[in-house]
Amino acid sequence: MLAEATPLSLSRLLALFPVNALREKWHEQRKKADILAWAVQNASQKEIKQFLDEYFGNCKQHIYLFTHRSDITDLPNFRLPDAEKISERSDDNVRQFLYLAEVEFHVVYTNPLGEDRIKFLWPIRLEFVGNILIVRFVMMEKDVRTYFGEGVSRTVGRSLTEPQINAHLKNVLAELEVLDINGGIKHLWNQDRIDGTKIRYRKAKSMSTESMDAGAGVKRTYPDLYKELVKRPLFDSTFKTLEEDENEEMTFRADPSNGYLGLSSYADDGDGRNSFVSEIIRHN
Amino acid sequence: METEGTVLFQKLLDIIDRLFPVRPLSINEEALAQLDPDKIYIENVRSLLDVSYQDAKTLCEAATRQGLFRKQVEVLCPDGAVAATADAENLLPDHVKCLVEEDGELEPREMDTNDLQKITFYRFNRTGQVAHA
Repeated sequence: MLAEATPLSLSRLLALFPVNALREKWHEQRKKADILAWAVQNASQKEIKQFLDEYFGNCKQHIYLFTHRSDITDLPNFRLPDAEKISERSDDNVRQFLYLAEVEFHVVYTNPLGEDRIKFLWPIRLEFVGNILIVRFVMMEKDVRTYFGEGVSRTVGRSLTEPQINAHLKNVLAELEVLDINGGIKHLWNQDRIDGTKIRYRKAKSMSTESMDAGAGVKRTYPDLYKELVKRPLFDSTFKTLEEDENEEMTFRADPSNGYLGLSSYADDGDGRNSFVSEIIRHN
Repeated sequence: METEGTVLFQKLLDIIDRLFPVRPLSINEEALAQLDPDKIYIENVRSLLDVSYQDAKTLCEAATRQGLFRKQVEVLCPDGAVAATADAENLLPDHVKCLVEEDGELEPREMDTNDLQKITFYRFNRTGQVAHA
């Protein structure tokens, strides 16, 4: 898949990564578009694979967390649909696989009127850490006008989605279940590493949402409400890391009861971002 | 004064002691009294006892096997409201009615239960006898 990729596909793939990562890899201080053009023309396949692997953690990501009962030293032989495995790593209790999936977007143009199907290469990483499976999807831009300008009205479909990949994994891996991360999120919250800006939680007979004003966090603003919230299962919520934290400040989505994290910003420190996720998992 | 929740939770504490005999657990008795005995999520137990999710789940399942809890499943509409409840997922109705926002208006819609989120919860089994291990 990577070997057959057109220069345009390669450029779109590398554009998913932050400019700092591109500059660090190829020692270029130019604009992102210039670095992309240079890398597509000059970087070898091996270099590109190394880049994808090394800087995956710096990307915007959707992360799904599961428990499984497979033996990671003897995993079933499975493939991801429409995807090529481009690297594999094993280390003690960890096995990591990096895939490139081919995704076709069906888009509609309004000026002039028309439609088209456009392919992207989509990085996906599976990390088996003991009995935990971390499925990471690099975030594709929802608004295809980012790629094609104002002439494109909207995406009307895509050939491969995150739910489809997750459903496939449930079929091929033994007893794959969602990892509830309420414990991990609340651990960081208790430690004042994060605070909630929009919290969705179940009471006995309702689903409630507390949406804070800009800049305000639930724990610091309403400490009594916070003491109630931490007893409840949390759903699709938004948190921010606090300035005192050693990691860079970020806002992220978490659906703790459904084992989901949405990191919609680039990271300067990919390893730090990965450690943040590991800490959430560790405290469940 | 003991509330019904506290009395029932004392029975749960007996099960905890049997499951985790050497593990000291921090138990907030005031919070125990406030727990709704008809709607206990695994997360409620996990946070109250400050244990892992897996330990909380093990406890709830043990309480169910021993007749103290009754396990149930609820299906949620997209807005988070519970549309139906049953003793098991396969006993939920095939379709439920939900309010869905369309063009700024809330419209009642029949939705396929397979497409909606389900959550497991437990309630105290007031009619059952507690079996002792």
